[in-house]
Amino acid sequence: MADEPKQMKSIWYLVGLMLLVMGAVIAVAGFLQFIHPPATPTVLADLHPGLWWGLFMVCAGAVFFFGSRNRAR
Amino acid sequence: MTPITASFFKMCVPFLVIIPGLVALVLSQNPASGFALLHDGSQTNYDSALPLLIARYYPDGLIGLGVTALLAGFMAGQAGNISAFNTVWTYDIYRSVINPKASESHLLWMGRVATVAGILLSLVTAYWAKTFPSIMDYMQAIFSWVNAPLFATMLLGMFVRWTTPAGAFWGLLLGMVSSFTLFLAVKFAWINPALLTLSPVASDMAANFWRAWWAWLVCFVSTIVISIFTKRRPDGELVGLVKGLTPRTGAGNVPFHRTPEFFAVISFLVFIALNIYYW
Repeated sequence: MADEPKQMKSIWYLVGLMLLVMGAVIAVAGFLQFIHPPATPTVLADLHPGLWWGLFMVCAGAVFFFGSRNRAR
Repeated sequence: MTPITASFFKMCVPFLVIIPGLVALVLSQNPASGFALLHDGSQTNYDSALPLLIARYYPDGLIGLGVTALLAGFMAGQAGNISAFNTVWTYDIYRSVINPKASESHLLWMGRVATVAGILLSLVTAYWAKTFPSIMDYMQAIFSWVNAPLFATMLLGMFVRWTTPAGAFWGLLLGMVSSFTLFLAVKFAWINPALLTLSPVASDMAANFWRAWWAWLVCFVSTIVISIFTKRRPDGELVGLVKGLTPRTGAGNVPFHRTPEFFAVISFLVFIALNIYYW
């Protein structure tokens, strides 16, 4: 079977991957702070910004990542 | 299409810059908030607004992202500027004017030297930037000296076929020199800032914007006047550079709502609407 020519990944693939990984880290940190609130919370910590922003980044990253996974540049 | 796409992001920048500044201003005026900007001696350090807001509102995890984003922004800006500096110096000045017969390896060496020189120069200017009330004041001052007259040169170069090299060079130089002279004139109180801003209330930032306008006008008018009296390049040399001499490539069968013209019109309308709303 002949080797298929390698194609460069779309930039959005890497953007999605970065958002996914960083979003997951932030969401997990936010979840841990939701269960065990820190001794010195930040202002408006009761809104759990880490958790919400982390989940938002994961969703946005998933759209970019899976939308461009099979698409070359 | 890329510049048009970028224009939408560019129009968002004032919101990213101004809204945190307004939040910091409101908080710092409310003693109950417990928020206070840092001070350098008697001068308020407005550059501390964003780091202090990040520390105030960002929990663990998110704070890493905020600090990383700030550092990435600084590093990307620095890398882009140094790259532009060594390219302009090596290709547009050194190879074009000083040493046209330079070999590729010599130009590569010169580019590396220019990179190191650019970094050292930026270290020196960083200390100068600290003498301004804020980084924004410094940036707007630089823009008024360089970017505003450059905009006039670019505009004429792209759209007017009889703009001459001498007109562009001396027009740009006059624009930059006039802007820097106006800056010095206000700084050392040689003139009343109200003369520049046409208003008795003249903040540093207002002076920056008005100076940018005067520099643009000086460059625009002087480029036109000098071009009228100097020798222009043959049209054949300007193909691909000047509109009207460059053949248009059609959009093919692309529907209208996906053409650059469509997005350019939307960008322009948003630009007008924002200016009217925030006038």
